[in-house]
Amino acid sequence: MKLLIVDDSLIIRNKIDRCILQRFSEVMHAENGKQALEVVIANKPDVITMDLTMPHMSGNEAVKEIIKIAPNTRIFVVSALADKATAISALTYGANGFLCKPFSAAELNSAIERIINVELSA
Amino acid sequence: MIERKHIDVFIEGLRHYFSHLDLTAKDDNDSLYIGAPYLMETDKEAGLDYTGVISISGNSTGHIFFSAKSSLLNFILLKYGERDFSELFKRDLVGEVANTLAGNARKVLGSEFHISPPKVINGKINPRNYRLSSRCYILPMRWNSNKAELIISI
Repeated sequence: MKLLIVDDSLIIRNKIDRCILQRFSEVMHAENGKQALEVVIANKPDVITMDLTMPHMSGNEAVKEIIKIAPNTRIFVVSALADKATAISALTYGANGFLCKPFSAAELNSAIERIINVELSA
Repeated sequence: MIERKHIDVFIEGLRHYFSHLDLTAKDDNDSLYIGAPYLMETDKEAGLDYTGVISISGNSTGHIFFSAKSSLLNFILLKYGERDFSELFKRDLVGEVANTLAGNARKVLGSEFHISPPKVINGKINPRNYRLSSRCYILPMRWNSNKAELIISI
């Protein structure tokens, strides 16, 4: 399985990369929504972690576009925006899950497990 | 105008953020100290070595600044598992902390509390570069003896 980590913070991308154990055969990084779209087209990741507040193209806009070109990709949003309306809006745009920053490695892995298991049982 | 709820939500945000870093502490945040908030003198420079700036719009307008000593950022980078303490990483980190604290505040302040992506400045905040509120509060803090300040100008 391939994972794409989208976040404008290098430290958060590195943290997610370090936390995800060895479930993924390939891990790719993108700094914003626009770059994420290019990686999706070229490399077709199975799972994407998506930040929301990013320059150039926001996470929600990117999710909307990714769903059109790769509808089977599982996306979960990892954002500091902690209000319920943001989580609901992300799911409405097509994300499969939501994790609030700051997060622990256990919370991240459990969120990834959940969306992968949903895919397997669908 | 800044209200008590704004200060409370950011105090809670600081506790929450640092409790996620401090998994080895005996109690939650026993290495975190948050001092009493005080009014910033808006005609003088404020802040420490690196500052992450978030612009606020929507139902409130203004700025949130998270400013930290380099030593505090080094300590957080270590907790993140980084071994690179260069300026690139410190600037990235201080922006991300500011973004996380401002974003988490939406849990209480609501989704109309809009936040910008972070901007980062090296060194102190020059008040002439920002439209600061006349009542701009500084929340001083220390984490493992390393200083930072959260500045709320709403």
